[in-house]
Amino acid sequence: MANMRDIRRRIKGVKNTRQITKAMQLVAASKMKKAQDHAKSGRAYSLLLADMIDSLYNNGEAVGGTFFGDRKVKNRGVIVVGTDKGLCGGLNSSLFRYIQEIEGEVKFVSVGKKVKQFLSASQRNLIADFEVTDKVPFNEVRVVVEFMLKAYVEGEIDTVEVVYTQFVNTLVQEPERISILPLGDLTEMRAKLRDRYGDEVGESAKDDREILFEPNASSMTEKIASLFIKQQIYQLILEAKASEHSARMVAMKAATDNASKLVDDLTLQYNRARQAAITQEILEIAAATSSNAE
Amino acid sequence: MSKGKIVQVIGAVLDVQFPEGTVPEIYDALEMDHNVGGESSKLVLETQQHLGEGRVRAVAMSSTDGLVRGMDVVNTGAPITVPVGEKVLGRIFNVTGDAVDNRPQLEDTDRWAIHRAAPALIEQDTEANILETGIKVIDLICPFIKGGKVGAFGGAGVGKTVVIMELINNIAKAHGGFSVFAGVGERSREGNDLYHEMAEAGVIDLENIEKSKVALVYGQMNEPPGARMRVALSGLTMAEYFRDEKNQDVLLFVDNVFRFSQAGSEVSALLGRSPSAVGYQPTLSEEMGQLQERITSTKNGSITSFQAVYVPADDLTDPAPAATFAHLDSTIVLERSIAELGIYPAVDPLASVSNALTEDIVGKEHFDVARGVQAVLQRYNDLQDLIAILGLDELSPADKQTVYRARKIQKFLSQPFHVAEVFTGVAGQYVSVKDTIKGFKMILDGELDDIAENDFYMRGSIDGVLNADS
Repeated sequence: MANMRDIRRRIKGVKNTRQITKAMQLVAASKMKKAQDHAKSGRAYSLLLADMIDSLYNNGEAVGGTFFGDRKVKNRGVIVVGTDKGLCGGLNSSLFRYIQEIEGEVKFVSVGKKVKQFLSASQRNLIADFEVTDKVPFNEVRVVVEFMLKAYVEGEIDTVEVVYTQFVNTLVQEPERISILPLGDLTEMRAKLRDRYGDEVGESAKDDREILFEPNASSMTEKIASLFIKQQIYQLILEAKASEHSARMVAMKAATDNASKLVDDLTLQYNRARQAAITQEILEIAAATSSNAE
Repeated sequence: MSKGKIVQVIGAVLDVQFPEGTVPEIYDALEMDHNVGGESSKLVLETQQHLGEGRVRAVAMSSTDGLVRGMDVVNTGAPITVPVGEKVLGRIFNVTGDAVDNRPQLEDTDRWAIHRAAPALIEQDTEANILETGIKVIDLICPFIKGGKVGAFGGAGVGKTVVIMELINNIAKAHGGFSVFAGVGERSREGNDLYHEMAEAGVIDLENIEKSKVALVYGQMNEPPGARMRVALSGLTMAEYFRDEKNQDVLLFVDNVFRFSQAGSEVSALLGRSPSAVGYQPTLSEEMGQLQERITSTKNGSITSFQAVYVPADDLTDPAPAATFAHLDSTIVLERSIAELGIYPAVDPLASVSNALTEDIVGKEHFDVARGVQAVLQRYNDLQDLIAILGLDELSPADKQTVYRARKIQKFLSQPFHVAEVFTGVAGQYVSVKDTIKGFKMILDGELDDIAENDFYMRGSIDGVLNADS
């Protein structure tokens, strides 16, 4: 029979843990709601931008540019979007498993402390690390993207890809790789985007009016392409955040349930020990009384 | 020799009326003949109390079936004696020193009283040499001292007897000197098995009985409490003779010391003592002390004793096992939760202790490895709740590594036993202390981090792990 005091101490400890996981679950739940809304509301803008850039390029004088055209891929540039904090179930581990399968000459850029730790621990080529707070302000993301674009333009990396955890639903999140640069066939890309973001966003009206560029087409297209890329990556990070919060909420719910189960088990043990001690004492008193009565 | 008459029989306790002035002394043996189902048998009693006016209260050493008030009882004028000397080797005795192995009784041997004084303090031996057992977990965590006392604690069915049998197998069979086995209140079948195993191993030489190395004394669970509370003393007396008279190093195996306390508690109330904590006799620790203080090593010879101790309801704080703890040099605690994991021997490496586990006695490397193993397992234990709540994924990489190593250590603490070969189908393994330390050191140092956990299960030395098929 385990010591009663020990059991009581453990029950207390587990209850405290449960309180924390419960709180984290609630916090994660509210953050998840926000992040999901945030991610969803960004989708329309992403699509619209894609439509715009598509029609731009298919429509006029704007062709080519820094971000187009295949180059010989020597170094891939991969942004890995993970979390800053742990306690989010298997989210990071499945992401890391996914990364481990990426082979060849790859330069990594991490978003999130956990990713940085993993990449440096597994001795991958990590060229920069960033952190993006829960609110995902655009200016934080812009730094990341601008770093990537600079590296791309300078030829340090020959592609820009994003590995993140796609938000399928509250229970399911899957790691996924999206290729951003070089920009390929825009129409195809647009179709893919639409496919991924679903039909929640209505088809924008086909617009084949002639477009007039001011001051000139090339400076405009360069800018709009870079904006599009930023927006795309921003959107992916939003999705990753939504995934993180739902994963954390689910993990914390499971943890809270486990803790409750443990408390129940321990309470049962404790009550048994307590009752055994009481029975023992009654027995002793009864035995002593009857033997003295003889 | 005075004669008395039975005036009262309560189970195993009898009151006998002697003529005033001729009452037997405390612990004097009384004898009587009586008929049970037409067969004449001898009953031995031991005087426990004087009730006044010539009445004594005595405890019977065998069944009191068929006794009637008024029967004659003879005072022998001496305590119960058992034969001692080389002639007892290879034989089986009961508590009163009668041979029960269908061979002729011993007639012309010395007989010693089973109640004796413990060796004086100045006669006791203080040296500490390690005794290798070939069982990994024991050699590592709770090493034995030559001439020391070892107890294997465990609840029902966790493998106490198997551990004792393996010790007999590894130590007594290789040991050049004599051994005495006292079966106290355990299964008669086990006693029978042991006899035949010993005979097979040649420790008992059936052809040439004088060449045997072991004497067996049994007072098993079918016997009344009187026999069970004295049979340990009978066995011990035989061992003491070899130590004191022949200056030998003797091994004494007792299975099971708890039954000794239990038998004491069975007669305690009948003797009119009020029960003490948990219903045990108020004289519990005194009785235990009387027995344990005699099991010791002197400058002339030594008794190394191995005792199995049953732990009622797995509660180590129960007075009977608690009273035993203090007397031992090494304590092996067998834990049900470990047995449930399928790890045998189910020794709890965190609860088992030995006085010998110090740098001075076992050496720095052994000490460090043993403490290292305990530290890793303790950390694993502490993390159990966290793992149960959050899952293994949430642990820090360092903790994860600790958990993996702890699991390997846990598995590697299992070991196939020679005596369990018939049950497991796996050949028993003897592992030297050197190999044991080497193996655990490799796990602690992380040299074996790449090897699958299951390869550590039921292996002997670390070479067995490295050469595993998978």
